[in-house]
Amino acid sequence: MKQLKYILLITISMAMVGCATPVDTSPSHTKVLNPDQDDNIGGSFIESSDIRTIAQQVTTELLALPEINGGDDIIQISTESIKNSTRHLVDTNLLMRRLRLDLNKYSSGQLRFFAQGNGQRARTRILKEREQTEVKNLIDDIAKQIAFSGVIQNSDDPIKLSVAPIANTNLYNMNADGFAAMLRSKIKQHAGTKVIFSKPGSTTEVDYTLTGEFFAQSIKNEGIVNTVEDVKWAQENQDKWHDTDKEENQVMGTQINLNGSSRSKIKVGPNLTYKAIDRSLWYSPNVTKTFNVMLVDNEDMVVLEDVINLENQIKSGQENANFILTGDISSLSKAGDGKRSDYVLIGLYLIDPVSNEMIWEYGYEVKRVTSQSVLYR
Amino acid sequence: MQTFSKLFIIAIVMLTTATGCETTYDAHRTPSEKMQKEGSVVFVRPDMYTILGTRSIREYVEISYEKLEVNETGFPIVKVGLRNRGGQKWYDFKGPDVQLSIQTAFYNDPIQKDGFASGPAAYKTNWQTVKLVRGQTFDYQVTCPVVGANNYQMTISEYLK
Repeated sequence: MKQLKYILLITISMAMVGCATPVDTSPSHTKVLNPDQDDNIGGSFIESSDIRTIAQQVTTELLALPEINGGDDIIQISTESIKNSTRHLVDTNLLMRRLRLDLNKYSSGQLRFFAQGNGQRARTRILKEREQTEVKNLIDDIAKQIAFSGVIQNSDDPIKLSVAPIANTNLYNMNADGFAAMLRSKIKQHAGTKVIFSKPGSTTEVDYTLTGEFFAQSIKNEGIVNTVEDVKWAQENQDKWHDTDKEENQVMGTQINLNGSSRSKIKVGPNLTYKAIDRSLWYSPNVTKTFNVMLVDNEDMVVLEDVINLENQIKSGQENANFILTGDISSLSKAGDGKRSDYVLIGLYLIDPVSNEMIWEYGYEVKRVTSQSVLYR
Repeated sequence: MQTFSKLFIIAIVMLTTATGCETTYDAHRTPSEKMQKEGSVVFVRPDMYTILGTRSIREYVEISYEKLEVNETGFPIVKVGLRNRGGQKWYDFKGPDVQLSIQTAFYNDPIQKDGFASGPAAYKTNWQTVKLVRGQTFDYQVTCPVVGANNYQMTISEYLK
């Protein structure tokens, strides 16, 4: 009987060991929440569950629209930031991003969004590098066209050519002379003994002059700050380092001023003034830069002419957008007796960019009251 | 008898020790007969039981209608009428305003004959919040952006917090 007690005691003990609670491996200070769960912190504005609910509802509504689901064509959508008119400072891009996630996931590739602001530096780098390769081929093509033209091939004697500086139409501080030099070299390479180029800057009489025009496909003047030119200017105009305006001890420059105003005050060189005046001049303008190549005879008549784009404007691609998706957040806020409440209305719209019509509109409203005001970020 | 007892004790010790040393255990399977009986709209089990009834939302919320439709795009739409009928018990005639969290899962295929789900949900909504004041009927509607996912189960819970 005594032994039976021992047996029972051991059995129960071992069974209890078997029922032991496993080691708690959860973090000590952090609790993982479902994104739809209330964090119990307080606040009367929108919550993550609202954003997820909106994304769910908008996705199904948009994908069911006949304008979007009506054919096999890919629909391109441009987005614009959601306007926040409430008292809360929140990142409204969060809603747009959550929405885009669902739309991309469930549209099966039928919807396309533009990368607005994301990855643009890498994109610019890639396009520029591709362009540099392409420009070499284009210059080679033009060189062949000139080298094998009747003007050169039908002549018994070698044609004497000179290169005149390339004119800038509405592009300042851009240099197309480098491209002209490349073109000259290629023409010589293809035409061989059929052409003879004079030394750059020579006044020797020639049969034809290779020249051209460099312009921006833009309705306004374009340009860029060129520090190298500034330093050069400063070195060559040392007398102008000193004051012509006694009071301010600064030099007055007479350089080209893109914004149309007359003289500008300068300290070192002309372009530093541009830099101070116009931020857009800090970088090469994003316009298509075209090189118009001309072969001119001694009577200043153009006998051959062609046009190549040395740099193409890097476009956002949004010109092809079928619709614009945007929206706004408005609220009616109250405070009193230690409590705050917000009635929030979130609207989203799909706009036809051509007709400017709102072809679809969505609204989500929520009202919350809290005794624990919080800071939203 | 003494030898038998010793052997018995050793055997029990070995058995229990061996069980405790197992690396894995079989997971519980959802009972197929229970799955087969589950409806398309279910309430989450109450989180508190008291002497006088439970704190179940089923005490106050009832389903006034339930419909499955398919829109022109082919998306299934579930429409459910949720009504807060208020307190129905002698100790609680009034009943509270109810705040619910609802999640709907859509499946391509119905529950299999053996009672198991056909697989993962083709689409699942987030837990969406619905506020039902006493006496209110809320026309809750949810659309699934997956064509053909015409089987669903709606889970209604107390507000998630």
